[in-house]
Amino acid sequence: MEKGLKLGPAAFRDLTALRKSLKAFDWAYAGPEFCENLLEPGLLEELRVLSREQKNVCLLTPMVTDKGLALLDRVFTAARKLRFKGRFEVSVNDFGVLDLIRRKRWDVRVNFGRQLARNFVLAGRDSVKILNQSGLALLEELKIERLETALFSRAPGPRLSGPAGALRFTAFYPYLDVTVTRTCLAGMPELSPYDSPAGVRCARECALAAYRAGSDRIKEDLIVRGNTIFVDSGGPVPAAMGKALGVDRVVFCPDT
Amino acid sequence: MRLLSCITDKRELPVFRKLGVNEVYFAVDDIPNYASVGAIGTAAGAREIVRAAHALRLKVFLAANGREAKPEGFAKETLVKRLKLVAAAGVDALIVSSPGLFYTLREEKLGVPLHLSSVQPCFNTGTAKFFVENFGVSRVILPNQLAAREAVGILKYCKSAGVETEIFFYKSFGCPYINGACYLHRPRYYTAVGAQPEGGMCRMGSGGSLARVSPALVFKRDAGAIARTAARLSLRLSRGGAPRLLNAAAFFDYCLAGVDCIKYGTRTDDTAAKVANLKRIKTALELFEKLAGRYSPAEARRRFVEAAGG
Repeated sequence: MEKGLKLGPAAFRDLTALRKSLKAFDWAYAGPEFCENLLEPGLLEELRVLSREQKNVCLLTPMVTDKGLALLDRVFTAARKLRFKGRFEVSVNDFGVLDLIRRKRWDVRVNFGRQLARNFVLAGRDSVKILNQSGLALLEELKIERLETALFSRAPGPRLSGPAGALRFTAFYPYLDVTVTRTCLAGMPELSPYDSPAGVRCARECALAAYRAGSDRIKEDLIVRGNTIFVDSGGPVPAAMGKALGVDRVVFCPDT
Repeated sequence: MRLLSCITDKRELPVFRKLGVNEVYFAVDDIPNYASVGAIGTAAGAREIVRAAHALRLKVFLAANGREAKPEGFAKETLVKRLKLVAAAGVDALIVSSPGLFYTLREEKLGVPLHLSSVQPCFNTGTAKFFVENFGVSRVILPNQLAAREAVGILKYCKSAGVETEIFFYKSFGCPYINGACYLHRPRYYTAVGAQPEGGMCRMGSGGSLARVSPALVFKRDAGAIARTAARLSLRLSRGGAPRLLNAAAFFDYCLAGVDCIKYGTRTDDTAAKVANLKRIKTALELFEKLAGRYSPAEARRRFVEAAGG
């Protein structure tokens, strides 16, 4: 089982600490997974830093509007010139981003991120369910061999089942993303009906904290960071569970 | 601009036609559709609906936009058989969200135009191109979490490619999160307490107590800002979510940019509520027509919001 660590921008402030924290991992994951407002100019520098490490690197990308697509165009142009010491992959959560990569004729390995993967498979508590076989045929046509997901960690039971075949999964932990919105719960200010918005404005409130939310309607606490709501899903999937489900990589996301 | 409405009862057709509706869409029980509500019979009965709609000169579409479907309902052969029945009935388009179903329909060559459902959100020009070029999509239904000013590129591309565009009316909204990808809606990954509110758990707490919010992971010490954000989150989690990008002003701008079709799609509404809402939309569209050519865009927008309401 490969192991990855998802790094936020703050992790790059102290390179010695970064190197130390990456020691136990095969993969470094960087980039915003859920919000295009976090496609910061510093992202390319983060990739530069990681390219000098003896690690495999995966660039995470979010759902984007045309604004984010233009930013990613520039990031991709620069990133394809970098020489990574290990493997390099890009995770996409938007068909438009996949389209951009293909138009640029960039021969990079592409994974479908947690948002896009849900078009093809659905993680249950004891299974990874294929939604339809035609989806798998499309993945093959699009040359996508890896889907990202989050799973509840549990002891493998007799009902545990995953898809057969070449498809491989990356499982993020310890938070499972339940829902996401463009209009950020934490950040977006109220709008006047007279103002036609240019997009989602925010003051990067998500950079300060993630929050625990308790409701009378839900037994478990929700974890909210920026525009995404998570639940605690426990530790990494045990090796036996991973084997049964086709998970061969786990990624620790300490900051969600 | 054309007006499109959902129907959940065949008897709504003549009523809606009289209200100025140009197009309708419906769902059937045995073809996966988003939210699985308000279906009219089965695929085998589609011919009757299509015939009745066409007799009233209404275009008629079928919602086949279940992004996540039960495997037994999505068995390819069975599904294709049902879709062929609907195609043979003369339906004018299928509304699709699942990439797998797009793939199947491309293989099967049913000859029915395909609309990209808002449940498969198109937030950028690249996504529009992806579905138009790979699957021949003839209409893009824009998600409600996209502002008009963000959609300029998509609208321009669609016009140049001969692809129609459609938006929802700004007062009729569904899920406050990304529609179709929201797993807060139903308790799959958490345990619900008590009865689920109408409209799903995305609107939990509406009218009830506020969510208790406290910082769980602190990345930067700014107690004041963290407390303000926690208070904002508590309110938004409990009272319907964050602000909407498709507000009255954005709706006006979408109309001004030449979006082709306005949709009313609340299938959970009864006929009386649908009639009232369609009248409201028709009035708003007439108001737009009246103001758009007469005043500058800024002044027309202001007057529109004032008269149509936020």
